Amino acid sequence: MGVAAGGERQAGRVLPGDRPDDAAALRREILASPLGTADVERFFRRLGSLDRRADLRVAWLGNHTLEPVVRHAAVLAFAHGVDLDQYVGPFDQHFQALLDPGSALHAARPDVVVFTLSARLFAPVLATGGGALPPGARRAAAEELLEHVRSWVEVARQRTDATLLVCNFPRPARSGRGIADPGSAEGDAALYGWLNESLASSYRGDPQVHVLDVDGAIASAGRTASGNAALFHLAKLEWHGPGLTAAAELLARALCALRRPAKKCLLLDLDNTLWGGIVGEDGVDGLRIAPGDPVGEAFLDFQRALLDLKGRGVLLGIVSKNNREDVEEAFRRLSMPLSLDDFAVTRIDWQHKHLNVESAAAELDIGLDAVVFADDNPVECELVRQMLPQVEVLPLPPDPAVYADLVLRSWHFDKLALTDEDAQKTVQYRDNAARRRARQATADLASWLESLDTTIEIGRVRGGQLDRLHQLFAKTNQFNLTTKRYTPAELRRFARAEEWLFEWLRVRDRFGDLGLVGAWLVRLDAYEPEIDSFLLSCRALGRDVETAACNHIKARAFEDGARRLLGRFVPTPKNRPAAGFYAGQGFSLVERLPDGTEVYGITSAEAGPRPCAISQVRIEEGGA
Amino acid sequence: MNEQLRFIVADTLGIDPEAVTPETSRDSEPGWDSLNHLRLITAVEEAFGVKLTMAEIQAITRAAELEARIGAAAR
Repeated sequence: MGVAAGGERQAGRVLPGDRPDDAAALRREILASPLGTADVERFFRRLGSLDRRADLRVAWLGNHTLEPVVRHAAVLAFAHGVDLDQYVGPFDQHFQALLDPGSALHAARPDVVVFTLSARLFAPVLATGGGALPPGARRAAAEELLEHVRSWVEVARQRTDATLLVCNFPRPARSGRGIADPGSAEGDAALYGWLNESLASSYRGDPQVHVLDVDGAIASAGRTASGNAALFHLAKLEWHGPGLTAAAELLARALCALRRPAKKCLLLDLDNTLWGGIVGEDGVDGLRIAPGDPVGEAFLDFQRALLDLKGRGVLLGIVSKNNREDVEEAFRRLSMPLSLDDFAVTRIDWQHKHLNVESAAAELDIGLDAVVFADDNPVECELVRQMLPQVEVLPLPPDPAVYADLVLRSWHFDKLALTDEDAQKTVQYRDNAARRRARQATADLASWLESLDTTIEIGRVRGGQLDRLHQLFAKTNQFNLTTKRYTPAELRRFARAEEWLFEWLRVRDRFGDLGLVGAWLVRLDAYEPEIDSFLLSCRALGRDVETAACNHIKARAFEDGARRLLGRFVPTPKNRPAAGFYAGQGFSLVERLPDGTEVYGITSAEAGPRPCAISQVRIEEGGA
Repeated sequence: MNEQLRFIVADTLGIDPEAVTPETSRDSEPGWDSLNHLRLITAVEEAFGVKLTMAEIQAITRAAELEARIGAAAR
């Protein structure tokens, strides 16, 4: 049996008997299915009957049979709200596909290229036969494989702006050295450990390249069950059974994370969620949250997992029906991983939970669709689900042993790379709360703004902070004039293009560093430049930062003698806060389009700087 | 014909379950190409808990042969 030639566009085929599907119903059906091979094929076919959006164009290249994982990933990503348009490159032609400008790969204009090599198809000694070779031979083969991948990545960088997802190498299910494997420097444990770490460390912090831990995924699924020697020899199928499912899930998660923002906040119940027992009934000393007690240890483990989420930039919050004094006493007296300071927001009272979820989101200034609510009480879960359908509800089952796994395995908080900003998130949101309190203490707005000592820093985007900028483009809803969700690949193109002014904005004040909170894209033009995108995180609003930024844009746009600067406001359900921006900056309305878009313009004569409370603007010419 | 097998053949080859008969074969079905053969074998192994040898995988060309192979497991 031959291996399929590949090089095909993957699209579902509609059969005469298929009735058109409702996307939401199909999503639910997929999520409830065990997703065996036949199920994946059926669902993939039904995707073809839908009106597809193609949120992300993905090309797959590699030296083993990829079609099964491609379809599985498409079905999973669809169920999680991201519609993939996929292309599978011809088998083992990953260099040719890049180097030929007329190749089907380039015609597919991928946003993402997934690249995966089978180590044993690259060099058989990487699986078996190495034991008979002189010392150093297997290591040399592994070095050659690593070099092959690195040179492919370098060629890919020159030939495409697509994000590159590079799969690492699953260690074989059995070793040529048998149970003595770890005793040998060239055993599988040592060799694959070295290979995968060398690969990962080559691209840490690289905004264009992300290494995916397929080895870890397949190990978690079970290496032995994930290989089928007959199908490997017959069809070059590397990933099989549970390993195929695990690899597809990893890839779908990575692709979804490239397309849509992670949830920003996890709101948690307390009793039987963060600790065992009910503080109001059992008392602080009756709570189960200590080593030595299995139930207490499960909750300790859950609290530590929540600290991991906090480290990823997820804001933790409490929404609990309790007396505040009881809860404060519990946090004060019990030794627990989490302290009250770890929470960006708390609602501890007897209000209905949906009202508290709403007001907690409002306090953090985030949308309800950025919120996950977790509670062990099915009634509370159902209430929040019914009243606030935008909120993602995570019902916690009765057994606390699974809580840590549940949140750490969740797709909701997936980010492909973590930035320094992520680790500081809670502090930044808490600083903001302090600022709001200071505002209440200062009656006069102008003197309050002055008292903040705000300084801003502006720099040209050079590629260094593209992860954070992509997060901003993906997540900013409120102060976003056109809400264009550019992919990382598109943002990289803007950063390189001379005719685009692509800049970032950083804000500091006496309470702390707000971090990188704004960006804009201006199409430069000698005659009529136009602001394509302008966005500011809501953390930075209400302090004249937008005016300082706009003054800067005007100065840059007119420096080559342009006649008029244009800008658009494209209304969305969420960007009302930005509606009056252009009028407030002295622009006049040029045209209102049928879709509601407003086009504004300002001439060079009118474009003098507007007064603003921020006097300190640093321009960073070197870029981020 | 075994109903579960009928649906597996239909799903993996992308044909109507009603159209699947024991005589459905690699010659009669243009959709039964090498990739879909791989999917069909994998789906049958999953569903019936059997493990086909390389020789069997290569030899099977008709639905009836698959049904005979899963025989005991399907009952």
